[in-house]
Amino acid sequence: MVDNLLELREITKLFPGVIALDKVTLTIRRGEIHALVGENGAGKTTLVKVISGAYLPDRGTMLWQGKPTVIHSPIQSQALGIFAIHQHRNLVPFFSGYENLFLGRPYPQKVRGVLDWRKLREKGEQAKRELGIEVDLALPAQELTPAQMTLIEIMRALLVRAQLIILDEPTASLSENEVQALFTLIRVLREKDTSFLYVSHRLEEIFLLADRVTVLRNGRLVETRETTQTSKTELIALMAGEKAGHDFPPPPPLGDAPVILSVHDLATMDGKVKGVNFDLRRGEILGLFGLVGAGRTELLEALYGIRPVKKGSVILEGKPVTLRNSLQAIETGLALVPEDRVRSGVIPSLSVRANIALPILERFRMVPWFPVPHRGREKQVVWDMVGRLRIKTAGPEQRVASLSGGNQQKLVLAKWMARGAKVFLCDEPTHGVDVHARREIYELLYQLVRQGAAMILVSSDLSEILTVSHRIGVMVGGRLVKIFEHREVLAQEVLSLCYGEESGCVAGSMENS
Amino acid sequence: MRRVVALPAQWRILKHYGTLIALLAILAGFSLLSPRVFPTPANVINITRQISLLTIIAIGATLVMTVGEFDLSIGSMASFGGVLATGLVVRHVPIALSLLVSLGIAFLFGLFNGCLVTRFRIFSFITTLSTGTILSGFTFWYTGGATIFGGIPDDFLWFGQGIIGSVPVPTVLMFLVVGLFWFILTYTEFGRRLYAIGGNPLAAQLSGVNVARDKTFAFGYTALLAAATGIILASRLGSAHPTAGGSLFLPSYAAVFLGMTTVKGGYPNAWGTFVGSLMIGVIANGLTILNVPFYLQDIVTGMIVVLAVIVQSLGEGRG
Repeated sequence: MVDNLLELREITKLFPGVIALDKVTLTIRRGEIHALVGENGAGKTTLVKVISGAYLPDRGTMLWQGKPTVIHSPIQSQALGIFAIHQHRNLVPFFSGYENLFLGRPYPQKVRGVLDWRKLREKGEQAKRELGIEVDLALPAQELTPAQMTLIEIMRALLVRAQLIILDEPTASLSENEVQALFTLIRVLREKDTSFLYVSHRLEEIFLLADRVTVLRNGRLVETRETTQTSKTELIALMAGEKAGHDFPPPPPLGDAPVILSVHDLATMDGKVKGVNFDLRRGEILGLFGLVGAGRTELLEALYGIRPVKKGSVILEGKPVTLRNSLQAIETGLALVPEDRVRSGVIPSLSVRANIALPILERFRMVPWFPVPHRGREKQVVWDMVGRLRIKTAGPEQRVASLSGGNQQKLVLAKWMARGAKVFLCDEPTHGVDVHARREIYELLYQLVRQGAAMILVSSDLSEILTVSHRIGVMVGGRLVKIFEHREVLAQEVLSLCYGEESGCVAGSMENS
Repeated sequence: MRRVVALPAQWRILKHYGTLIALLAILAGFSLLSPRVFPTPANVINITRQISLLTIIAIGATLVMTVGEFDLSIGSMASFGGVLATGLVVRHVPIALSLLVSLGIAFLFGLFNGCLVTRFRIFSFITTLSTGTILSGFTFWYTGGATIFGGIPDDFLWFGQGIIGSVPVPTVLMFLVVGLFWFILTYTEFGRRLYAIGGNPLAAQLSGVNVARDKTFAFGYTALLAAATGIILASRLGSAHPTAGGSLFLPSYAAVFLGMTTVKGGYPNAWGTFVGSLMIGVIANGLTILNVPFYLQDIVTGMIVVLAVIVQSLGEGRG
């Protein structure tokens, strides 16, 4: 009986110019839930990819059930019993649950080459009963919630008799109830000697669930500890490499700054936003909290001109704003920092320089009538921004795809800062960003408002909103039901407002300190 | 998830300069096999003239590919441009006016393609397949299916047959087009925006790029270059046939794909397209000199494109 399911010994992975993993030695025991934490860019994803066979390590050895093993491909790792479930789940959108369960494995067949649908359904239902999972397998994957997709992935893992299941941020878009259901399932499977490698930013979950936790920092393994013998504070300190405090200073004082943006009775065609009124002052951060579907993102999109507006008026610095398209919105001084950076925030295939300079190309013209930007001036402005925002990059020509999430987010802010935007519409700016980068982003937001910009900050992290906003707006069912005028509002007040009219789930994790 | 093949250092050189190395190898091979005909100045000039039409139309294809679209109507557009301009000059319309009219109509047609793609959000593949078919219908209608020849003024033939010093006019036009669009794509605001759109249209739009307008203009220039190719072709042959441009369509995209393998990151680019076109031209020229049957040329060219793309894809996807 080998107790160690997987042993990594001095695993090193090099990328051009970067040591992604530096002699990482890690053991995963049989029937253990092993958490993996670290800032963005610490090497978690690389480590997961090495274990699941997507990357071949440059140095070091791997022992699977005590035997030295080289994993060349994800198919091979699955054959060994390793199953990785990624944050963006790998299901075919128009396949039913049954079909997705058997994805990449031989389907049950009547005669060779002919699928046995009845048997396929039976096997699926059987797996469901064994695990006590409630999910309609007849539905196509595209109609399932993220939580249900995760359950189907776990069922897939068990159908291939996986002994090690890797979960990468599995609770990122799950409600509280769904998280509990997932945890129950994980615990049941642990009793059956299945091991888990659990990657998460949410430290509370790790203490609820994991037996041991490993901290990575800059590609090095800092420490592996029993969860019972450490604390959240300690983990944060280990990740950051310094003693990081919990509280962040309040935003710079407002004084009697004038109103910069007035919104009157704004409503969208699709009814997601219903008659919203508010004023925003120069230098102010207005936090917007609400449950999922309360209309916060939709409000930002309406202001930015990319969601059709039914009625209402918006006045920016005394001038009415037309809400027809994003180009006009940008022209008037609005800037959107979208929630999904990779999908709509950055252009990954282009360089840091090209990304930051994109909205301000006309400024670098050598002659006003000739639309050719001056490279030198452009580089200077971009490099200045990179320095001021402390974006970690090898140089202005590095491709954005190879930056970490936190640095990509800073780049989006840099782009608008360089353009001199007056009102920032930030949608979950710290989503999926590590503790250290989060603090840097807060500092950036403060820097922006100090320079006279105003900001609407949508976040599902209530403690974040309570910390960094001047005022806190609460949205319920498409309406801005209340704006708390001072920062000393209690979390309970905000939450009771949210739950007052609608029952549902908490929008995001509450990071109580 | 995608498997990444770990490449040793010496392989990276092959990956990044593979297409150029292959081109040099092919040049060296033909020079050895046919030392008295292939590596002569006359043949070099010959090759540049042979690839000039392919290169110009392929630069057009490069533009739409840069914004992540396809234009399947460029073959029909080349035929149309050649037939229209020739038809006008044989009816004694001044040459300059004939060119202006033909190129102007082509540009408008390209803008129309672009509008269909951007305003109605139809896949460019389907849009340009349909508009190309319509266009070739018009071309046949205009000529009655016949070839236009005879009565073409000598000045019109200069574009395809003229020589400046010892360099053929089509060669000169090709280098002008490649140089101009290399500059436009790399250095102008328009070109920079095209690459941004190709990289992530949504992020480009949200960053203030007028995606619909820029894409539409890309289609316009693509059609313009296709028509120009057709005109030079008609001028070179001294006749215009309603399907003359069709044979340029597939090789032009092959040239763009080969060109994408010449740069890190694999994006469409003007000089790359030139290299791709040169490669296709050199193979055709060399094999013809060696008396290899024409169908073998197609087989070899096809295999080289596939091989180049495979080499490019090795070791990608790391991050």
